[in-house]
Amino acid sequence: MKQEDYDTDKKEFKSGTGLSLSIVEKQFRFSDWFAEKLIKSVSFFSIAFVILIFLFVFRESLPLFKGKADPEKTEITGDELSHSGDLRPEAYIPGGEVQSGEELSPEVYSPYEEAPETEVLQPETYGDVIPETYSAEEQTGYFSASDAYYVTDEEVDDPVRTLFSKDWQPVSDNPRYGLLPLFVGTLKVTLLAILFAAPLAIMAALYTAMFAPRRMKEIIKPVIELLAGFPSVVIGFFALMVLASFFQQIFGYASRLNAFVGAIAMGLAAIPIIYTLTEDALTAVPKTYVEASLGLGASIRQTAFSVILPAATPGIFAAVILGLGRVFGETMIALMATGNAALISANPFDSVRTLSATIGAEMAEVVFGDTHYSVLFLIGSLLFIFTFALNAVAEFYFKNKVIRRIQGK
Amino acid sequence: MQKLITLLGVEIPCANDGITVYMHESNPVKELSLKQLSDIYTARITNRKEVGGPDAKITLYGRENSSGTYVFFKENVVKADYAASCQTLPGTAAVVNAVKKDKFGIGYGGAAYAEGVKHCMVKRDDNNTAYHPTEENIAKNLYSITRYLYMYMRNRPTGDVKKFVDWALSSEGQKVVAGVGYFPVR
Amino acid sequence: MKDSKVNVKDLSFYYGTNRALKDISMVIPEKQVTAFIGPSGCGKSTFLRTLNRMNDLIDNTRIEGEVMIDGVNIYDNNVDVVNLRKKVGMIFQKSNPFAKSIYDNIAYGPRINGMKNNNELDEIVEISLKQAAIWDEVKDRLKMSALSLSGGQQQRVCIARTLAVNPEIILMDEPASALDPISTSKIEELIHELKKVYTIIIVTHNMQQAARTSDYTAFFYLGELVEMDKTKTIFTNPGKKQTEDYISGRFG
Repeated sequence: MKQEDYDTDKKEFKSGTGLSLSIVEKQFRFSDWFAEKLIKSVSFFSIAFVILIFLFVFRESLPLFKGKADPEKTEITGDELSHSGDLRPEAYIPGGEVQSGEELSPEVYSPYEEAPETEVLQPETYGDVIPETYSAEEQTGYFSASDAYYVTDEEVDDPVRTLFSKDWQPVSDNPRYGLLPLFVGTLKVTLLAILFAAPLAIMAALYTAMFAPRRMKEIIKPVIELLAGFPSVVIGFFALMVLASFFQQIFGYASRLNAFVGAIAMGLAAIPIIYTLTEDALTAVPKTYVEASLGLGASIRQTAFSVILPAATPGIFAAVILGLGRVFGETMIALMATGNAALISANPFDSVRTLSATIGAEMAEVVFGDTHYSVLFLIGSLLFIFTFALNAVAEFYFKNKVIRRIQGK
Repeated sequence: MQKLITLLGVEIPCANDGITVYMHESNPVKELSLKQLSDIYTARITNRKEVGGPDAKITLYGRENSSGTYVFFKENVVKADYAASCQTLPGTAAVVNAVKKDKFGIGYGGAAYAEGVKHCMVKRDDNNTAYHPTEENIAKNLYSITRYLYMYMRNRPTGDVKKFVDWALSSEGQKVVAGVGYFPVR
Repeated sequence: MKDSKVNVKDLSFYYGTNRALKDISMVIPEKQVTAFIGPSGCGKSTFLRTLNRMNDLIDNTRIEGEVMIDGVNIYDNNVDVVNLRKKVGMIFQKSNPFAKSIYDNIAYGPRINGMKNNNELDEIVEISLKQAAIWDEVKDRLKMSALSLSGGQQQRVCIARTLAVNPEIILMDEPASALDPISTSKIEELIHELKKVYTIIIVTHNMQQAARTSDYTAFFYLGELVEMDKTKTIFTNPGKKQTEDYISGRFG
């Protein structure tokens, strides 16, 4: 600043800075405002999407609670319903022509010369079963003799009431939608999978973070992370073909596909997630902790287990929760490796049917608007609620408790 | 009536499928009656020795309830709800594979898929003889568990589609059907 | 000079091909405070870390020469590094208590040495905290996280943690550089007390601190030991021009 500047009029000096103006008058900065609103709306939309998905899933399960599912929902309109008795697709005869009602049925082409066409055409009812390809002689003996034995006298239950039963028999004359075995199965598999995956993944992460030579670390980390991109159908197939036989030879259990095999396979899917996040959490522990511990005369092993691991607990906790979520919602592996038998038992070597596998297996062929359909969507909403509750409990209650225990109040 | 037919489409039976009962190759049980099969799949029979085998628990394999085979087998053989312990697998190949690896397993599915497993002979009841699911037995209607495989069309086939359908139903087409493990309809 | 505790002979240290320490030889007396001074990057911290082999943690480093502690070369192959570090404790520039309670921080050292008896641990924790002059401030909240303390308190907890292992030598790497004047003076008083029992080596940027706390002072410049003498001598009548320039603030 030159000498003259000091001599200038006080008034001029003041206005020249422009500083006093910007403080008293709030300035509108468009780019800042826009960025803020954009970020806000994006985050709002992602939350809204999650809620919308949940609402959709839940809405589809609502008819369950309103009473019986509406048969009118199916695509046959009222006009056609009147003909439902003889409702059959047209049969096609090469070169021939459709002439009468009888010939509409495809059994025209039956290779069984001795079976008269008309007899095959008509739905023969024995109890409530329509045998399509059996000729009359077959239905003697076995069917008639045993019919009385098989027909259930029970009344068809209200589907809502069967939700708490112990049977999952959705395709039946007396359908029962007991969710209990599905819950037990899901919990069993999830628990086993985490018990298998978490220690392995955490130990592997500890090894690469603390013990492994740099060269080794550069190989192990990408290889395990590559596993995360493994399609679960591949892991499921591997479990189905290899793991199941392998473990059967070791443990000698009865059912080849069971909760244990499924849990191991799902553990394999969860390990990379838990590993990667744990490794990051361990590496994020300040280097000064290692120095302090070693400076006190601790060995690397002591440092790893009594300083680094406790210091990384919050991150490891989050990693395990994420792994848990992955296992909980895993569909393909469960479908392929757990045997899918809806049993209630505590034995880890029994087959189980998980919630998500049930949806995955049955959704494809269920009648739209049917009770079965609604129940599957109900399972979907329950899965959502449970994952949410699990995360909430872990985040707000368990996490604080564990961390306080390890890291002091 | 004509409108109704159009709405329902056209159904063309083009092959016969024998649903066979698979067993592990080492299994000494040769034949089962439909009644026995039903009892096995409803867990009224749980041990091999009740059907003439060694003393061993039977493991049940089946299909998912979204499968047509599941419903067909249930309605025509089991005639009741499957036992809860029946393991349901996503696909006939998975069932075959499971039985192949399980000495005490039993499964069901299309005859065309059987590979490395034993077909169980099936008899209608105790008074009848048991038959293998062979072409001859199925043609003579001696094997009990069979079903048609259909092609479905919106309207009666015309043009190239008609040519194809006619070919499929011709003896040439039926040879192909037999070649891949199914059974001809004529 | 009193009895020597550490005797360094022709020590050179390399980061890769970069020679960070050049032929350093010095004798550090027992139960005295020795201060290392010098401009940033002169190698004084590196030298401090060679005394308990903390530099082993850094990849691609190499050492030449000898560091004798109580007549044993600590770079001999048969030296147990873990036990060496129990004998030669270290306080770092940035206070680094573990993410544990105050009690567990102090008890960490004794515990890894296999001490399980709670009464003994209680006693050690109390003695160490009293030695570090922080007992009165934390005795009612031993179960609280050490991270909830102030910076000065954290640093004294770290000192107490080191004392609990009962070392013979304590290395301090700018222990007060991040602290306010009150905390700094507390640490300095503490150093004065501790030298009755321990041999203390302190790296500092603060001339006054070196002058106030130490008995001997070594001046490092560009990886070389320029001069080492009694603190009084260094600050009043240094032997080398470089030392005088640095102390009087003409460079550095």
